[in-house]
Amino acid sequence: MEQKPAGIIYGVNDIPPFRTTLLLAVQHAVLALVFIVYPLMLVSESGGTQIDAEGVVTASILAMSFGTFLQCLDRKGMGSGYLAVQLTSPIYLPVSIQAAKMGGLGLAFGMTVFAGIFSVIFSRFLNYFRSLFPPEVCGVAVVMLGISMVGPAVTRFVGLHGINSIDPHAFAVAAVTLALMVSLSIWPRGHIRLYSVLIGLTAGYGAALWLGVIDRAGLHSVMERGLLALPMIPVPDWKFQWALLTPFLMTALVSSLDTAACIITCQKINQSDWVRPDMANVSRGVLADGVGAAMSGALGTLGAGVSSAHIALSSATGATARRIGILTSVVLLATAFVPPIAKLLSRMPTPVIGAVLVYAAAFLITSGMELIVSRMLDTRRIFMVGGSIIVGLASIQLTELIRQLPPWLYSIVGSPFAIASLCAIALNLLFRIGTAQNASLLVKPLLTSIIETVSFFESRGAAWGARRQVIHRVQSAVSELLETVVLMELAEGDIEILARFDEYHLDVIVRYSGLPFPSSEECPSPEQLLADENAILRMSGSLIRQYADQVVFDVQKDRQCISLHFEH
Amino acid sequence: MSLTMKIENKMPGCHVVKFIGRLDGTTYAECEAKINPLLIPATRDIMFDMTNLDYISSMGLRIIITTRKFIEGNGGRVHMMNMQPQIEKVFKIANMLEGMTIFANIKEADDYFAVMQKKVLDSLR
Repeated sequence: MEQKPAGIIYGVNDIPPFRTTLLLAVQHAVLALVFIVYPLMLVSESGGTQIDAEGVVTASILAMSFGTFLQCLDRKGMGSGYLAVQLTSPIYLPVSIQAAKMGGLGLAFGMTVFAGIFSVIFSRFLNYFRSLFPPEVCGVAVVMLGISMVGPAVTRFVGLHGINSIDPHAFAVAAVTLALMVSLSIWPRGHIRLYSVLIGLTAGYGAALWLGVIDRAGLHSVMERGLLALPMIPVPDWKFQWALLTPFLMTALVSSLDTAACIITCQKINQSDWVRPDMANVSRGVLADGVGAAMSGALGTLGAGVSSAHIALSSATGATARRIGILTSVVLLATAFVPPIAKLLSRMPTPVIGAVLVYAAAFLITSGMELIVSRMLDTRRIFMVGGSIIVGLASIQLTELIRQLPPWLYSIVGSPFAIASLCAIALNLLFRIGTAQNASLLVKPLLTSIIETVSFFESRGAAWGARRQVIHRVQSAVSELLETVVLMELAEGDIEILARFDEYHLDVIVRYSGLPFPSSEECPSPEQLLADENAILRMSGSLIRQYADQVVFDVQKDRQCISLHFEH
Repeated sequence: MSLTMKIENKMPGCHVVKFIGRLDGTTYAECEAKINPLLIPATRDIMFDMTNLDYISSMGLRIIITTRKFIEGNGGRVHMMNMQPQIEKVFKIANMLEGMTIFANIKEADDYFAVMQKKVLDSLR
């Protein structure tokens, strides 16, 4: 499939020894079980019972096993084929809590099935809709997801009772859990940081037991079904409500785009010569994501999505073999047959849940910010991003006012995530009006024209919302080109620069009358360079080729024409 | 869109040249003017600190070649420190990394200069 990079010991197609595969698979499965905290949060927020919690934990384990298997498959158009573990995703949490509060857990699960089906359909048209959802729009959605989690997370973290009463024991448990998770992620060297959440969680359980925050009597019932038994999940009472369709479709969209980003990361990790995303592969991955999410709803848990934490784990351990993913799904499935695991997880102390959510919210907020600043921002985009976040925050602040809205409108406006995402999409489309996708510049054959050209691409890049690194490559290629044209006195008269941008490509054409550009691909040897320093100018063509994805040197109507093509 | 240069004399005959910004057709003349005084037989080592160099064009490379040609021709050495990936790629394409010492960070470079200084002091005893 691809060339294995230097840091990777077992590449995607490699078959590691069985013992190694099993050890790595257990490691992935244990990390996946830690994130059961999200569906537990859903049960807790909707006032579910202990039986609900146990059922949701078992359903989550089965959903993660099934989703991971599909994602690693890469057969008959299904799955990316990379080691990408599926988790019950925090992306689905805010809307699922909203649905559960409106119509019980059955409504949350029923709507998740529809969201999954939407993702399946979306996967077929992913490439066509890419321009509607640029990274800064997705960034706004991810930031709002993180912000939406702050309220429930902090309430649990401090053990808030009533308005001004804080439970010091609960606070101590949460503080120990979070302090360990954060400090182990920052300071230690080596692989220990990969287990920071797991270690923090275990310490949290211990602290909760010591301080009496956890129900000790409940722990005695952990072994009541024995060590091994068939998994038991209650049949969910699936429901559907039109009013919730928009928030769930928005969630499915963000989950699909998040999965797409994760799969592109897998492609980069596994290919030393990675240049651009393999969108057919991404589409197969998003299809598996959709089927996995629909299956999660059907089983009775939160929608599943690809876990970036597991991708980081596979990259850090240098083991990205598909087989590890397949065996992880088998290990997870086996876990579902061990009832004490589900029972123990379902009794996760509330302050521990709070600490994990604070940790996750911090990551979500900063990931969203990273997405936003990955594009160049001009005034239009600043208002799109800032305005949408303000709308989302207003939805949190004006709860009482929003409750008076009709149910169909309340479901959208009452969800900070949904309203901010919709606002970002609408403003992105609105602000496109008046932004020309074509631009041109006429410069004199002087070295100072390089400064003018760099500024031109800076401002156009911001207006287009282009990727910063692509604009940097364009500026480098055109600077190199102009420098050679000027210094070798190739142009007679002005130089014309034409640029055309869409979400997928950026094409630049440089035209001038005069002598042809030195387009040779041959580079002078080190000895030749030391013997004649002017030899470097002859390799300008090679330097331009390394910046652009495609370069064509041509003559059109007696004018020299250099076409530079950049993938975006 | 400009180039700032800081030149530090580490010890007699050893200079660190720090680039900040772009080294291209618009800035090479200014750069050349600052480097030329260093191109004397007494100069044994020149280290280019590339940490904050954002872009280098073929004219920028030409200055590095000229410096290398002079210093190595007089038995000295030219070093690089902390090259950004995009800059390193340009040097690779130009076949200019061969025969040059590249330090990953300031500590490696300082260690090198400390050894050099010790050698000089030992030779004076």
